[in-house]
Parts: sequence; C-alpha cells; structure tokens
Amino acid sequence: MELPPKEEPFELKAPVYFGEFNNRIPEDNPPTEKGFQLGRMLFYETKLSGDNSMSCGSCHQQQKAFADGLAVSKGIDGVAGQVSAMSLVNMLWSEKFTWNGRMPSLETQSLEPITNPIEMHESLENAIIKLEEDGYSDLFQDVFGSPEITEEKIGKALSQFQRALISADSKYDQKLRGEYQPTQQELRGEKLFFTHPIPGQLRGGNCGDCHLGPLTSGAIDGLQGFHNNGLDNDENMDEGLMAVTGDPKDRGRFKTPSLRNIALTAPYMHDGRFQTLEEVLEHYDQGIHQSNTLDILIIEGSNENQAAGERPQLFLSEQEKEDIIAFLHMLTDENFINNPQFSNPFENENN
Amino acid sequence: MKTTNLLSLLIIALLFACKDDEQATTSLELTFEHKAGEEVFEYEHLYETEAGNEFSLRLWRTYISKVRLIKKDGAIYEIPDSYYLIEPLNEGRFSLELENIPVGEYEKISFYIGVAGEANLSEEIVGDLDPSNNMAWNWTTGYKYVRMDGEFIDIVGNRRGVVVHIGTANNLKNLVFNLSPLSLGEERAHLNFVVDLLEAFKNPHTIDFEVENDFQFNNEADLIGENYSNGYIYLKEETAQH
Ligand code: HEC
Ligand code: HEC
Repeated sequence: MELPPKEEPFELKAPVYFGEFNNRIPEDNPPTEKGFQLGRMLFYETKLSGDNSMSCGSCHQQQKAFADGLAVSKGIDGVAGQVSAMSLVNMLWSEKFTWNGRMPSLETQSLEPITNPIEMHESLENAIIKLEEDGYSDLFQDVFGSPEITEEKIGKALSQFQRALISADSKYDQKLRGEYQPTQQELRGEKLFFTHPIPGQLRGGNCGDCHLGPLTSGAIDGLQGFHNNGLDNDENMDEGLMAVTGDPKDRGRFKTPSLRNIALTAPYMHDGRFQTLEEVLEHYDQGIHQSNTLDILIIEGSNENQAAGERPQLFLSEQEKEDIIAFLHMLTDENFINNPQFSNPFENENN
Repeated sequence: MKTTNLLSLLIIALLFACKDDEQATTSLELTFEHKAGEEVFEYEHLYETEAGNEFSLRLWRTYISKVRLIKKDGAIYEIPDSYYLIEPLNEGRFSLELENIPVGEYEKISFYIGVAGEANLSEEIVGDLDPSNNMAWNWTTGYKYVRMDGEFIDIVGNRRGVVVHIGTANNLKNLVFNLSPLSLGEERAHLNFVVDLLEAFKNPHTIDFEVENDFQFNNEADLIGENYSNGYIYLKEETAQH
C-alpha cells in the first residue's frame, strides 16, 4: 500500500480575513503532506466500519460540501440518528464539535463515528487489525515514525486531513479579493445579511449577529457560538448544549454552523427540518418560536418596533429574502467541492 | 602586559558602546478589574443600573488601543501595535504586559477605548485584532469597541435583550490618566485599573433599558460612547514594584 501521489506541496492556506489559525493547530499534531494523505485515505477507508461498507466519506460527501443531503444520517445497520450530518469546512476556526458541542477537539470527534453503534459500528481494536492486514503499518511509519497503529494516530491523521478542508474560493471570496463584481442583488443580500436592523433607520436580516464575518460561522471562544435560533418552544425543544453543560439556560442552544456552501447542504438545521433556503428565511422572518432560552440577538433583531414580549419577527420583504438567498448562493465554492486533493483516493485508483 | 591592558580597554570600550546603543528598557503590567459598582463582576449575575433595571450579561469585551506613556517633558513613548481586547477572565481580572518601555519617569498614561488608526478598517492582524473574533463588523464599519450581550426582565415581566455593540469613529475615546509620577526602572511596575460596567449606563446620560435596550449604530449608542469616555475605566492603584 502506498500514499497517493503528491499533487502539490502541502501547506495550509487561508485568507487573512479568516483570522489567525496557526495558533489553533495542536502542537502535538503539526500538519504534514504525508499526514494529510494518510488522513485522506482513512477518511475514505471503509475498513473502519463494522461491515466494511461505510467510511466517513459516506456521510460527508465532497460534492455536498462534506454533508450527505439527508435530514438525519443512517449508519451501517440502517438505524437513523437524531441529527443531520454536518458539512465539514473551515474547522480550524472552531473549538467545539458536533451540534451540541460535546467534542472538545477534532482528534476526539474523528474517532467517535467509528465506534458509534448507529454510525460505523466498529471497535477500534478490530479496525486497527484490519488496517494492519491491509498494509497500513508502513504508512503510519512514514507519517509518525513508528509502525504501530493506534487510535491516537488514527485520530491525528484524520484531523490533519479535515483541518485542510478550507473553503475560501467562493464568489464571495472572489468579491472580497476584488476579482468578482457582484450583481446588485448579491450586494443587497450581503448588506442585509450582515446588518443588525434598527427600526426606521437601518434594514437588516440580522444573520451576521451569529453567523460571523466571512467565515459565517459562530463565535469561537467558549460557548459563545451556541444559540437558540427559535426552532421550537419550551415544550418540544431538543436539549442541545444543555446535554453537555447540564445548565437549563443552555436548552435548545446549538452550534452556529458555517453557511459556506449552504446551497449544497440541504436539508437544514440540526434535524434537517427545512428543505430549502426559502423555508429557512421564512423561519427567521416569521417562524420564530418563543422560549425561555430564545437568543436575545433574535429577540432584539427586527425591522419594526415590536412591543416587548411579542413574538420576534424580522418583517423582511419578499425582495429582501430573495436578496439574502442570492448572497447565500455566493458562498458556494466549486473549487472546494471539486478539489482533487480532497477526493476519494481509492476511486481515483480504480479509474 | 601591554596587550592585556589594550584588551581590557577594548572590552570597556565595547561595553560602553553597547550601553549607548541599547537604551535600557523595562516592562509594565496593566491589570483591569471588571466591576459593577463596588462588586466584582460575574457573568449571568444580576446588577442594577442607575435607572433601576436589573440585568445580567453573558459577554462583555472592551478594546483599548494606542497605549502611550508620557514623560514630564512631553516625550511620548507609544507601545507599538498596542491593541488589546480586555474581558473579565479570572475573577473579573485581565492582565497584560507592556514590554520594552524605556526606563524613566512617566507622568501620564493614555489609551483609546476603541480601535484607533487605520487598523480598524483593515483586515490586518495586529495585537488582539482578529477578524475572526466576534468583535468585527466588516471593513467599512470596523470593529466593535465595546460589546455587551445580556438581558433584563422588564416591568411587565418580559425577557428582553441588552445589546450594546458600540463602534465607529465618533465613539473612539482617548483616556488620559495622571501618574504620581511613575518611575519605571529596575523594579517591575504595575498599574491597576477598574472597568465599571454600571458607568456605561450613567454619567452624563442615564440609560433606561425600558426605553432603549439595543445600542448599535443609533443615537443611543453614541450616548453610551459618551458615558464610557469618563469613569468607565479609572486608575485605582500604581505600584512601583511587586
Ligand atoms: C453515519 C453517518 C456518518 C458517518 C459515517 C460519519 N459522520 Fe461525521 N457526522 C455525522 C453526524 C450526524 C454529525 C453530527 C453529530 C452530532 O451533532 O451529534 C457529524 C459530525 C461530524 C463532525 C463535527 C463537525 C463540526 O463542525 O462540529 C466531524 C468533525 C465529523 N463528523 C467527522 C467524521 C469523521 C472523521 C468520520 C469518519 C471517521 C465521520 N464523521 C463519519 C454523520 C456521520
Ligand atoms: C441567534 C443567532 C442566529 C441568527 C441571528 C441567525 N442564525 Fe442561522 N443558525 C443559528 C444556529 C444556532 C443554527 C443551528 C440551529 C440548529 O440546527 O438547531 C443556525 C442554522 C442556520 C442554517 C442551517 C445550517 C445548516 O447547516 O443546516 C441556515 C441556512 C441559517 N442558519 C441561515 C441564517 C440566516 C440566513 C440568518 C439571517 C436571516 C440567520 N441564519 C440568523 C444561529 C443564528
């Protein structure tokens, strides 16, 4: 077994407007070309699943920006989980993983699906034996300097691959770099997306209050990026972050996902309840459910003066909703979903 | 013998040369104690404003920038790239170390609340400026200088937000503090500031959340800007050594 041929010298590259990232790479797992390639193989390796039928890439598909297009994902035994597979993108700028934030690092999150009974349902001992039989020991030797295959090393290699999944070449990036002249509608959408409305003074969609800056993902520090965006009322709300912290104030708070490539990752929200971006916009505009933990940035974000205690609404016009959707489409990055470096190395082999 | 003498002369000359080239420098520690009036500030804890609103915060951050030390003769030493994001970390405290300050007697220290200079409208990463922290709006508006996210229960019992996101050039405020004077030399010196949450909502403008509770880009945001220009940060203590 060999590592896939080197295509380009390996380097993590990101625009400065994403912010500093070198200090976010764990010191004990510096990225290397070989580590990335091993991680890529493991990511697409079906031997990591109980019946050798499924890999990470089954639920995290490149053409779908590493999501799977399903409301909730099913594992090898056909048992559906509770939540939707997340798009894997720009994860260097994230410190808590999964919808409820229970995973503190990419290294730990990368091992969990292997053993999870409703995902790949394989024991790590078995997975390691299968990798050894397949000749992976040499590759581990190449990357880590010793041939033993351990869970720690598997987690590290998978993380190296996933940290490199940087999407920064959408039309919006091209606009930020001065290479693309957006349409009037796209410009209006960008402005609305990032503007916090002030009744009578400034119209806005308020999205940028939580989906921050060009990354369009949540705040990185602590639990600040977790919000209750009004999907349910107190009676029927999923636990969210509270399952991790035990704090009732955290009920219904979920990780604010990146909206990069959002046009490719339907259905939407942690349980995949919305089929289209139009439905998402209707939700924020006039479908908010009130609750004890509804985020204040939603309570205080309206284009009209609402009476205190009234159900928050944005009062966007049809045109404005379409404008915001046009902006969301700008976040699609064709080069990311077609980058051969991120593709399944075993499929290339067969071609 | 002659050679040794020459050698020692040379060494002495070199030593002097070094002294001349490199001005002696020292460091200064600044600590910011976050308080609400007299109380040590804590997140998710109820405090009462001058206007009588009971509120709590889940996030509180303040940018300070362009830190300058001023000598009696008016000579100014400006800390390069001094952009600091101050927030209540350990028991409400935040400490930072200013390094490579020329030794001497300083009469004043000044800094801005906010992000001074060009860096505010650029994607440059200097000091604590970072477009991926949640203080940035964008490059036409720049950074939020003071950010508070919190909530209060209004008189009728509704849960409402307290959203304070203050930025823009007019809310950049220069603060100047007199020192006694402070002699910076061998010993490590320390300045202890207090950041008082409640001052943002009073003096000169008493802010009533029942009337306005969302402060971003509006006239009310500028009122908070005026409030924080005086009394929000004050110098509590200076010590010349540890
Ligand atoms: C059966 C489908 C499935 C498989 C297979 C799968 N995942 Fe996932 N992945 C999910 C789901 C569902 C979530 C959301 C989990 C949650 O919130 O509890 C997720 C979340 C993640 C996240 C968190 C992303 C974030 O932004 O927080 C990472 C990282 C991840 N998966 C990596 C992997 C890796 C690596 C593998 C292979 C070892 C893998 N996944 C295999 C379905 C899958
Ligand atoms: C209060 C913070 C907040 C605001 C404001 C906000 N969002 Fe979200 N957004 C979230 C959170 C949190 C989620 C994940 C919620 C969940 O799945 O439970 C989310 C999810 C989404 C999703 C689905 C992502 C996916 O991968 O399934 C889309 C699309 C989206 N938001 C778009 C927007 C748009 C457009 C706006 C402005 C009109 C907006 N958001 C305003 C916090 C916010």
